[in-house]
Amino acid sequence: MTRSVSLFVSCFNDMLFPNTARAANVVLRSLGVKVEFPRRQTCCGQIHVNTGYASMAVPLVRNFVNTFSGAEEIVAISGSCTAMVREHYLELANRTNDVNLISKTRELVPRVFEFSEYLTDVVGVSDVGATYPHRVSYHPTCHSLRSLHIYESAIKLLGAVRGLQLIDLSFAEQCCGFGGTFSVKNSPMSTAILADKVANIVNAKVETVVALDNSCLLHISGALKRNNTGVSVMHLAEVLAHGLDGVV
Amino acid sequence: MANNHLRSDQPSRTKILNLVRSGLLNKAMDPGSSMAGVATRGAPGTPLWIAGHDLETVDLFEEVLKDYKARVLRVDIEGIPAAVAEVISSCHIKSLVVPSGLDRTWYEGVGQVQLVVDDGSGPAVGFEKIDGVITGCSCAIAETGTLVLSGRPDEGRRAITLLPDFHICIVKTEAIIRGVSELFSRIGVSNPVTLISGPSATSDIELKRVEGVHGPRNLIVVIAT
Amino acid sequence: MVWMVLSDMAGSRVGFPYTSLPRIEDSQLRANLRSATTAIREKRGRVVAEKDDWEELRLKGEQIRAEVLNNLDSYLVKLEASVENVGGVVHWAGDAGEANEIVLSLVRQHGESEVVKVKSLTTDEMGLNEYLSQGGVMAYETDLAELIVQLAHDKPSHILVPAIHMNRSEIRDLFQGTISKGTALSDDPTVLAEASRLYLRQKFLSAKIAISGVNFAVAETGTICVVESEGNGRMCLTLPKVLISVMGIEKIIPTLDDLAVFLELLPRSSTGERMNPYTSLWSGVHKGDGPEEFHLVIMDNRRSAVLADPVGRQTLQCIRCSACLNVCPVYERSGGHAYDSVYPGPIGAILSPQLFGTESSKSLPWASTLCGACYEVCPVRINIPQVLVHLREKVLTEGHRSSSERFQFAILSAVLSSGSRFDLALRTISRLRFLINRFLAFGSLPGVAGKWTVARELPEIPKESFRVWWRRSRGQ
Repeated sequence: MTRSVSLFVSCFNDMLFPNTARAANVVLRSLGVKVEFPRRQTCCGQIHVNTGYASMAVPLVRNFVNTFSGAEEIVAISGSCTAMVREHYLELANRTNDVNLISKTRELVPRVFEFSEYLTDVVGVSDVGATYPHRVSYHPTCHSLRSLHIYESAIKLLGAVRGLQLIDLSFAEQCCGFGGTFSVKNSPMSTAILADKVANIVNAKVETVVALDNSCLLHISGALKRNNTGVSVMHLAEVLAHGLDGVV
Repeated sequence: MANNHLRSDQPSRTKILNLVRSGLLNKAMDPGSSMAGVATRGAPGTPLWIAGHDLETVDLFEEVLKDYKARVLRVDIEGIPAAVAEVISSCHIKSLVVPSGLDRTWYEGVGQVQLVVDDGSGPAVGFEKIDGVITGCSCAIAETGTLVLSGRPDEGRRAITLLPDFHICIVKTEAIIRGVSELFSRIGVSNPVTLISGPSATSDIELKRVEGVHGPRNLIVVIAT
Repeated sequence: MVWMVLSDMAGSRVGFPYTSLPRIEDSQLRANLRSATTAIREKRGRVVAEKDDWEELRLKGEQIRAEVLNNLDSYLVKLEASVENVGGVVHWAGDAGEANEIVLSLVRQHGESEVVKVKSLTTDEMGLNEYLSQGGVMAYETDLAELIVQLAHDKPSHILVPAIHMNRSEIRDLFQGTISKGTALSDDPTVLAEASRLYLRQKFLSAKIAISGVNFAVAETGTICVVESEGNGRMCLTLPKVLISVMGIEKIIPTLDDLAVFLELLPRSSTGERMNPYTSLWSGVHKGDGPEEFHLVIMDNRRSAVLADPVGRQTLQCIRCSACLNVCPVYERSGGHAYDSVYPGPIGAILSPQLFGTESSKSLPWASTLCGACYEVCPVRINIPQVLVHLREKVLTEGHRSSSERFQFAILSAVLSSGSRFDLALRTISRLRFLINRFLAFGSLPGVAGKWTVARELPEIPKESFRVWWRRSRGQ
């Protein structure tokens, strides 16, 4: 049976990190999964909800649900967007009193998966055939770790990558300090938290930091670059696409 | 006392209860799935689960007591007087208070010690001048190393175990329960209850633990089989 | 990058971004806090790991607290009857002012001008010590850390370790200037603790009235529970003739068996001990043992309003363990004072705005990255991130944030609620990307982007968005 997924790339990745979405596409296709990209997709609404404008996220929820409700399974390449759907969508849909939207949302939410979780738990694969001969640390982002409870999936997938040396990061479970608009509303605090994360990364002497959220990685890489550490960041999908056919 | 506090004199009572009742007309949000808010086992920062202690209850009790630096002696019932005498002598205890319901044979042979047998009738002030106290124990909890005093005649009133600097507590093994959950099937609360789990301590200065602030600074537990 | 286009929205002189700033820059404070929170975190981790049934205990704790809150009116009436039945006197206080008045008038009725106190956040919330002092009554704090804070005319900075912000030599100097005048002290914590023991013992033996908080009040039996470590609590609860205990309306537990659940949850979560050294339980007045008079003051002080909020209600489940403080990345770098409230840390960030509603407390729901570490350790499973997000919306709905921010988010919502509008926006950004990238590469940026680039580089906008690539590569 051929699996078919609709990719939700998120507004953020669509605009700033197209390579992550392309890598996810390559990995999924290499596993025989048919990938679609519904073009009406936009944004999950997380930034509105988390900043305090939840009611403004309702039209975004509606757009998401209308866009994806025909899809068999939805794969998101962001832990925090996936958590947004799981934790807030039903409550936001309920606000509309639109019975149709509510029931469509209720049916849709359990079909939305985070990328690594989809690979290990739905497809049932841990070795996708990738090669990435570098020293790597995994930073479990807060939403992926504490909302989605995804930790082992990523570790399994990274552990199977040829040549990859997985190095423990001290205080790995601690937040990087990003927090969406927190990063600018409480900018000095955000960068103080980040400074410790960066110090732990530097101490781990790795070449690449891998995570399931480009938003956190953008924040981390902003400081890694500013401090000329030479450490790069990469979404898990991009690591997994290394050495596969079709990677661009 | 307190005749001036009849309920009818307290308009705030009615006001608070009305506010609470009207607040409760809004139903609380469903707490959601029980998976949320649970630590992901095996992830960094989450404690590695330690298998439950497989020690016998009494041994577990002793281990936990020692862990918080109580002195522990294990004896047969007949060995209690000798153990008590040994502690009194090695701790240089010169004066002693005991509750009137405590088995007299336990302390009669302690030698040259000023002894006060307290029946709870006099004032509590004065016990601070006494070195030590001996009590029995209604119930002890192994998992937490807790001594439970519930005001029985062999435990006395609370002040006697508070002001002297040495507390010698005799725990019979049949009084030891495994965990906290069994506590209130063993003891009632018609008397005041004190749970003691270690010598008094503070960590208020730079989180450095200092044993002994206001309560007894030395806790000696005699476990008797 | 959505927030780059937003104008600056955090320029206020009140609130957490402002109050936390000097603390973030205080490297000594940050080092103190880090070692303290790390140490307690590790201790907690060890004793929690011993309990195979920890998650079941948390679920029970949550259920018991929720049950009480959802039926609070009947539990309050039940508690009142039980306490009266065992010889206690119950007083009801609508707010802090009334609670203060009740306590002061009780002290005056006995003709006393001094009282001893056991550490109590609720009385801190009331500002009881100041109120008593204005009424000519001196209240002596007897918990070592509270004593330190009181002598220094300072404020507590941690729920469990209120003087976490002071080091031993500061405390030594303080004692030498106050309770140990004329005595040379070393800065050894053992010596300092002994100095406080000597000073306070006289107070305990002479005091006629004690004031305490309440950790738990058992509705079934009228039993009050106070947990502590030092023995100062036992002194206050046992020696004086009159005992006045103050509690918020939410502190009720239905039965003694329910209480046992919290005697497991609280010490392990709070101090990281299997059990705290001393726990006292008493039921009203006990002839021949302890106070001859017992007064219980039950205070609302806006808790009923918190109760009325379907999402906010769970905040009242809190048992004040402070585990959430010790895991919070924000608290670890700001300390308690930055929260400008009796209740700091994540729990304070949700409790303070609901209880006090002050301008500065309204910034607290944003003082979090929503990382969720607090929820994971909470022994009664308060979903703190959920309440934070809820309160953000509530504060904004009540109109306490700049309308320019609202306007920008409204535009964003309009763009993002339609695939075609988003298409257009992405194409426009792509077209202007040389301009934008050059602008972003420019040293100091205004507004929000400037706040980002203080310590972080910005990314470049790529040539092609994913959707454009997708269509192009498929010849669409």
